[in-house]
Amino acid sequence: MKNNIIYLVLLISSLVMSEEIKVIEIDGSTTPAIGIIHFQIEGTIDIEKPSEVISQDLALPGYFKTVISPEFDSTLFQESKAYYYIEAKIISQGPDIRFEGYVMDVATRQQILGKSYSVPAKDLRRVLHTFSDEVLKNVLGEQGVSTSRLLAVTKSKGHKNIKVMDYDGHRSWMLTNDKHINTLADWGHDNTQIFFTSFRPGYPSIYRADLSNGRRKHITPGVQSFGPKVHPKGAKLLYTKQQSHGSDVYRLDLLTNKSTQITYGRATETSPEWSPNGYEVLYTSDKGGNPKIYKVDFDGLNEKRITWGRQYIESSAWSPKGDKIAYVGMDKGRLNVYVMNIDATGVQQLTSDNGNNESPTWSPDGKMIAFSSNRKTGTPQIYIMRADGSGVTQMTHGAPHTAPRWSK
Amino acid sequence: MKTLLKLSTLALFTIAMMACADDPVPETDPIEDPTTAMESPVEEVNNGQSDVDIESAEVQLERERADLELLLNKLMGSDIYFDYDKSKLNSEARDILSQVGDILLKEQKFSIVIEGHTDVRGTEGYNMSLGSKRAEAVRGYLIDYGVSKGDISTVSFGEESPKVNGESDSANTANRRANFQVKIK
Repeated sequence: MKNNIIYLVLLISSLVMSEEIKVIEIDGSTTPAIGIIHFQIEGTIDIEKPSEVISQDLALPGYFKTVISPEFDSTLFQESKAYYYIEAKIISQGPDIRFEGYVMDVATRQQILGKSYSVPAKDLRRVLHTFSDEVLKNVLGEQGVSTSRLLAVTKSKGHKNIKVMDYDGHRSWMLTNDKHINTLADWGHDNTQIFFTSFRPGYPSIYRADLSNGRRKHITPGVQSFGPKVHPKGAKLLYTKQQSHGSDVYRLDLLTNKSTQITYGRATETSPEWSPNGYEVLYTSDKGGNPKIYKVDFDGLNEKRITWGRQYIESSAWSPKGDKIAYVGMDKGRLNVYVMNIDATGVQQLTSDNGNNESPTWSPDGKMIAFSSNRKTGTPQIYIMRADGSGVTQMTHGAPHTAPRWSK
Repeated sequence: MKTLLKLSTLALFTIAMMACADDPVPETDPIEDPTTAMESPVEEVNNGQSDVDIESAEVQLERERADLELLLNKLMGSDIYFDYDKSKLNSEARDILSQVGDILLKEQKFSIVIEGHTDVRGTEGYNMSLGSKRAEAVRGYLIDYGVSKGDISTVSFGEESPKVNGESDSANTANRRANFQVKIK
């Protein structure tokens, strides 16, 4: 998609910050504030409040506390300890749109950063996200995830299909659109392919779809298999294969098409998850009774049980930095999202008393967790929260949406 | 899935069986008088056969068809139910499976696909495996009962194909099941 965007850098004065970022204390935590002035819009655009798109990009991951104002308000910004503010101009020019975004110093009103992009009108949202990441990079030195995407499974008339969308739920499109069950998908390591489970052949089996040309390939013909997870460097998949005793986890080398069994529990072994470095695998086994999380090397050696106790624990998701595991635990028949350290200490329950909350998936920067929840209406939708459980925000609406998976 | 004989296709199957009853038609000589054969094949068939023979053959065929339909319906309606998060067969399940086993031992032209399902509680991945365990528990029972291994295959749908939508107790109870699809060999 990036090559669709014509970068016209008009005013670049990406000053390297010579002094440390000034931060404010909120409830003991340190989150810097940034002001945002309502964007100046010339012509018609199809985004109601573009400043809020950027505000969400900066605030939801917890990088900034945003202070939005209709116009420059020195007092408001200074009282909020927002030492910088964002202003932007959006000019609709026929089929194209020009976006000019700036970061300014509140005290001096000097420009800190200026970027301009001319793109087809439909790409305005993408440009807003791109600018958000420029702000994070230039002001905080952080690699933002504003342009990242989500996969989700949507249900209609008893069929399930896979949807691709921006992380905030916008610009969605259907990757599959047929009368089968398509579910449990994952992004390829470079986000150019999607691997998914389909019941198309009459049994669950794994397919690959290329995002550039839509081409499909049946990866595991004749094998009852589901839940592909792509190795962080690509070329390998973990998946679950149905067995007469339940299921086991296999590793498939995509270059040789050779599968190797890596769990031998004689029970249910499923929901594998690569470690960020690709050397270890988390998975679920119920060989001790209830489902629990185990860890094993990628070659099937050094199996180790991670969680104990009586709780139903499933769907482990390894944080991008490798230090945390998000997972689903059952409380009184309801599923909730938890986070713990890799050694099972420091358990934190992130959702509670609010329907079923499942399928946690980390944002690539480890700041957020997307999950599905049937809170509110009973219909499952995709939500995003910070890794500490705060800032829960609904991203999908309408038909049921489940099984989110964040791009890499 | 196309090869599976579902209830809705029973009518088709019945028609196919009726078509078989007309099989003698080509054995008459259509070349000699194709027009007649086309217009009144039944009369051609009747040539040389008494009405009584035809009637008893038809009655027998009708009975066989009805029997087969009965067995098919019986199999397709023989859902096996399970306790929450369990794949163990209870006594009621074993009773039903004995009847299913009897049908399969008697009617050698059937082969079956056992579909394992779960309710919506729990995670999708875990439920895929649980459905598999349930289907395999049913398969194991039927093999022990004497049904040929080659006539039974299994597939798990996990929580993806509920019989009753929703999360009520009654929906959950109805959805924790294994059911049969029947193929004619």
